[in-house]
Amino acid sequence: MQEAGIQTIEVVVANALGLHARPAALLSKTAGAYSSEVTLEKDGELVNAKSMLGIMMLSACSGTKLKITAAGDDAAAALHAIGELFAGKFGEE
Amino acid sequence: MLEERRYAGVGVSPGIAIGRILPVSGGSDLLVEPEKVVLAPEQCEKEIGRFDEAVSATKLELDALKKQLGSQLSGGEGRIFDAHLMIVGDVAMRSDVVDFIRKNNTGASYAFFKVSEKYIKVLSGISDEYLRERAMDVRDVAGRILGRLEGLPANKLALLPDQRIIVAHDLTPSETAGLDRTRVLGFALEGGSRTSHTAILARSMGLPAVVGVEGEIFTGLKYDTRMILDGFSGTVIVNPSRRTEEAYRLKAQEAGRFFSDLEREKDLGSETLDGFAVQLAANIESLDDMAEVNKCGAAGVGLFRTEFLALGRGLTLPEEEQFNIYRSLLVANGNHPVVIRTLDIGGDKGLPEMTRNPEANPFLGLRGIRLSLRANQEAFRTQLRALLRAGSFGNLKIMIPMVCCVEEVLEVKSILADVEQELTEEKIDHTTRYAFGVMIETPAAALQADRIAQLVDFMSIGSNDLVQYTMSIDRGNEKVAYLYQPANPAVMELMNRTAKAAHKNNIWVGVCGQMAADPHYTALLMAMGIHELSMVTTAVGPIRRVIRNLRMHEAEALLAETLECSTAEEIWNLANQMLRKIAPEVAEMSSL
Repeated sequence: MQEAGIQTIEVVVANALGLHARPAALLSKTAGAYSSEVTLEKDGELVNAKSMLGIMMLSACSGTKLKITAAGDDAAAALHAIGELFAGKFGEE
Repeated sequence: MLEERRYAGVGVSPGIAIGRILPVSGGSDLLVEPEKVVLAPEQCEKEIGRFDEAVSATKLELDALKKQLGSQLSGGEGRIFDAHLMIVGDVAMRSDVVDFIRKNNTGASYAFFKVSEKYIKVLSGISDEYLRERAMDVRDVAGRILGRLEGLPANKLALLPDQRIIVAHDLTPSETAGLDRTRVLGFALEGGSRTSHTAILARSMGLPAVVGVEGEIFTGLKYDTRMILDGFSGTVIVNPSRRTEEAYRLKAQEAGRFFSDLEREKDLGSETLDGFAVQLAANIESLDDMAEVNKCGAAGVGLFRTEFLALGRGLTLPEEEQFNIYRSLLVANGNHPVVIRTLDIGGDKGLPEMTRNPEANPFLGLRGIRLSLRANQEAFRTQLRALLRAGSFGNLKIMIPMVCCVEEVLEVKSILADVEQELTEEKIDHTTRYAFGVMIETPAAALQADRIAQLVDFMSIGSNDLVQYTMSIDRGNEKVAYLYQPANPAVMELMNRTAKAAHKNNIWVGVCGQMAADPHYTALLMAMGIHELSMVTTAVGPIRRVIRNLRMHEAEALLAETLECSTAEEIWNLANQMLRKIAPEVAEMSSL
């Protein structure tokens, strides 16, 4: 178990349709389950990962690189869960 | 490339529109910019609280709706509800709203409107179709929340980012009253009919409209979908190919040429080849429409609807305000007659005050003159005072709607006498030389036309309601729309009877319903001896063209033949043959 604090991972959007409504909903729900603040960053643009609209505003299509930062007590767990979502292509092709 | 889809509906207002759409699903998504109110900082925290309350209330509302619909929802619809619920509770949107309120010291409605506008704008500009569709979801949700904040029913709002074709089931009069008219290209409606409110409005705005479009059209529609609307043939084309768009652009140009030809004929007389003249007047509902009246060359106003002055503003407009409007209208028409109809609400034109206590059967309820006499007499007197005062400035004719018996006419006449005396006693200038008339739009009034004609200066047949009441159908109900038959022998007989009663009593008779604007009926109405035809301004040109190609003896022969017919279809076929013979170009352009 890593220490609490600020942590960052990098992911690539791998599902064909990109971060559209359903993945955005899933992602924001997942992030919302943790007390840490989670942000997504795409080319310097930052959004709250707990906001479906915020995520959609990034309009991240397939192949987009994202930096995910979590800050708080359960930062590591939050990033782990989110990383799994991306790795599993949000359950889509 | 998206697939081009074609749908057949009924064209109810001529013209061609090509552009992007605004789907209006069950109301709730029309947004108007609220007023910007600047507040003291301590007030801002209260506004944030108000916003949070509106959000939770909307959440509950959506949850309840979702539960209520339950198994009726398809998977896709269920997901839309889920998306809506997520948008309502969205943290980024909330923090943007809170920041906006604190930074600008504005009210919650304005802040929320601005924030949701930003989201809608960004989302609708995204190239990904899925995300773009969410812009529509944000609009839906924003409409609901804003409605809460503004204390409005959920479906009374409007935001048109640019010019759009409105696609909806149907629109209520109060919804269309809030529309930004400069940004509407046309209407494609699933429900409605030729005489439903939106169709009438579209014609008066000179915008194409198609009603009765299959409900399937809504599937797959997006905020940005392109559409062609052909108000002549009733065709609606979704995702038109470039070739189709090109073809329709040409057709639109042709139609434009036809109408500009008609415009050049505006100062020619509305008389038959053998010299029988009829007066062509305009149906309008605001002073702004006078430009159109002059452009089409109508000789005055045959129906000035006054209920639209009251819509959205409470039941009674102050006397002074009404007086100013009527005076300007009369002055603008010089010597030409101006028929002003007293408040005609109820039926499908309810006011918010009335929708709170709905009647089971509004079309058979307290509407028109009944409402003025039984529930709203103070407002009625105020209107009569304003009318009589304005009457000194022009050729005023007062007309009362929905008359069904002689007693009503007598009662109104006695109130009029009362109001006149009141004004005389108060030494307020007013006219004593106005005309007083009634609308004939119930079978009872048509059957009693001879008795009524003895009491009034004129009668005007409101054909829309006369057809509806004669055929016993609700004209907005598409299930019985097939029975909306202006050419039904029963309707023809009632109209003919009314015209005869007018002639017998030496008063004039007009028609101010949809039939006056439909070139198929022009010859029949002329033969009945109708003196005045009042219609939407866009119909004046085509109807003038028909009259100028007509011979009275032909029209009379047609009427004699139709009075022998037993079905609407036979009558309509005869009328159609006649129109195609004398003015094929008008038949071509007319939408039936």
